[in-house]
Amino acid sequence: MKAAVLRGGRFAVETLSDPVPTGRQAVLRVTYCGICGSDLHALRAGTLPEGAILGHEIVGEIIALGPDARGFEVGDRVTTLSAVPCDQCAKCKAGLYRSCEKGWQVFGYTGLAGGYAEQLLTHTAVLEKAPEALSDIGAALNEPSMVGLYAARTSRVRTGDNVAIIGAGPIGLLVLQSVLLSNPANCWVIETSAGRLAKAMELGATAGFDPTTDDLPAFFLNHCPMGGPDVVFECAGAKGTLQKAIEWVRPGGQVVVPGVNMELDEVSPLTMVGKECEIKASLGGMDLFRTALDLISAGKIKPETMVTRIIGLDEVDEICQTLGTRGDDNVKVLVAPGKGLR
Amino acid sequence: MKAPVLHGRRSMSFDEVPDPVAGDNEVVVEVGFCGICGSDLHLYDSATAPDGIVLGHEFGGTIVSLGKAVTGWEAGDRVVGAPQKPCMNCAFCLKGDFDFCYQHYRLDAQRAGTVAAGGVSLGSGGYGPFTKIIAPRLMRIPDALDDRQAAAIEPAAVGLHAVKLSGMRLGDRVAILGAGPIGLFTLQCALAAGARQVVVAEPAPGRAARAKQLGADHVFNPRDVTNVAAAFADHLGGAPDVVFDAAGVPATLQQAVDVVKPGGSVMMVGVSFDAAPVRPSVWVTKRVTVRACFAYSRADYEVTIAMLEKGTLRVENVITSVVPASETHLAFERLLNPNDDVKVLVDPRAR
Repeated sequence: MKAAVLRGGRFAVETLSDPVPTGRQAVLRVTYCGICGSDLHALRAGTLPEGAILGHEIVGEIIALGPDARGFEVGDRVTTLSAVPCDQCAKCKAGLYRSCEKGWQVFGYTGLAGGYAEQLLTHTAVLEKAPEALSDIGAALNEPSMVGLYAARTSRVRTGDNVAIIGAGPIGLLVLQSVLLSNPANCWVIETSAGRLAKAMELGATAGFDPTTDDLPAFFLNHCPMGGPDVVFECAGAKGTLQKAIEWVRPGGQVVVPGVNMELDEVSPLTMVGKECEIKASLGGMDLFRTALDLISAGKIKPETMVTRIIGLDEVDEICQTLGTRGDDNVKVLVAPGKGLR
Repeated sequence: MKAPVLHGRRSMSFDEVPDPVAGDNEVVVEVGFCGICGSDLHLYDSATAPDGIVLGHEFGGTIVSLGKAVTGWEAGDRVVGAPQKPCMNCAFCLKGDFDFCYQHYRLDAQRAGTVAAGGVSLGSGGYGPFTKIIAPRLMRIPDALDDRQAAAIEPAAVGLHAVKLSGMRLGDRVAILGAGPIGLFTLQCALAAGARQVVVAEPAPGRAARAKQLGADHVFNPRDVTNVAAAFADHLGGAPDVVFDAAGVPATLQQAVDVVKPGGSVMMVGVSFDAAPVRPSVWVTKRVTVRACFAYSRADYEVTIAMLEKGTLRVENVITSVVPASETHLAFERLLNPNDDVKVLVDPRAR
């Protein structure tokens, strides 16, 4: 199979041997794999092992199953969680995957090959069949949709609240769509890219702001009875935005952090204590994998509207240099490993 | 009356000041004892308080005179008052929800000075023999509590408020960074709330010993171990469900996140005035909840008074010395350097 392999900080398309499933594992032919901001953060932070194959937002078709796999058949259209149990330890052998002694590994980061490849080795315990009504793109983006849904559900947002979302990248836009399901009074989006802001407005944001030109503290003081939004989602994952979220949220409010900033950052304890705010870090939500799938199938979350480009494996290297950087209006880019090759 | 008066950075003199006179809705109280708070030390050390102010907000006292609009109170009543003065204008005050007064929540260094400085009515706080309290903030001190206990109500309520807001549950493993007054009251409240174990990290041997005497399952010196998180996990039999950061220095916020179990909660009780370095990637991968709390509510005061009366909260091993008002500046200088004292009370009537 062919894959985009990390070589000296850049991606090269290489031909590798096809994966072979054992135990309850499965091999997928990858239809689409989303490029996630975490992949880009890790790439730019230089923390990835040489030879890494990234990609954990995947839809594909089962082409091979291990001898002990149950519940799935070759030909099933499935989406996979972003991490898998080892299938080798005593706990996995007993079916207690949640207690895997090695801990679940996320595709791409620690040597486990991910979805920027024609084929993917995964585990039947983390697969869900894509409903008939669901598009391939919708199924591929179930994983980030779940992350957004989890952030919204772990937050304190209630109907009628004022909400602000910092960052209108894929996670920000998915948080937006999930938060809107509980009908906040206002859901404001803060983003420097005009293209991404336009997408946020299209998806139902009350108003969009550019933090480099708009006076947000003045706006919030004038528009929120308690001086700021009840909940602020920090989805930019950039240095300094966490402190901004703390400054903007109302006294006694909540800051939810689904974005991963890999850098050393600073916050002011004085601001936090003065406001008695709560900062809730949010990651994953694999219990919601099926729920997200159902919400996408029902058209209540529309991840496919975020897709601005679909590329082949040979374009991965180029797009990873620019995606998400200032001036780039791309939102979600999908890799179609079959594109131009099959 | 004579009181210790602040004059700019690290300068305090024992001067004659006017006796306070009760406004219409105020009472004048004769102060029993007044505790020295870390925020007073900060004001003293940073020149952020108005010149000529008498500090002190941890006190109980006896009413000596009343404004003409005050009802329900009389001279001789023993009282305590929550020190923050509500602005009466913000969205919270207009609802009567003074505990959430927006002014209190817009703390900056300047405002910290004016809120915490002069006690209830700005100008002259509890280090002087007399001070004023506005009537809506008054609460009765039961006869069973002496003046030392009354002076401890304020810092004890901070610990109570922190535990109540922390999300701590019955049976949780608890870690506390710092065994100053706030750390020690947090310790007592966490034990009262049913912590499975409480382990404290404290570098000062005198404070560490007091934490042990107040019921900590284990106390260690964080400077003696290479890995603070591992030390807590060893002594607790697992990573803590809740970590209270009562150290009040910037570095301990990230340390608290490193110490807590994945999915656990960190509560900032102490506050540093400097920016804290943090690693958000660790916050997210550990799915931690970080909370910060400020002071207490009126309800917290009522509960604190009841717990002191019952003996659930104790001031022994927290209050470590009493100094005469004329030597307040000497106590401040001593407390600004490493020391084994915990809570020092000022006796405003002693010279």
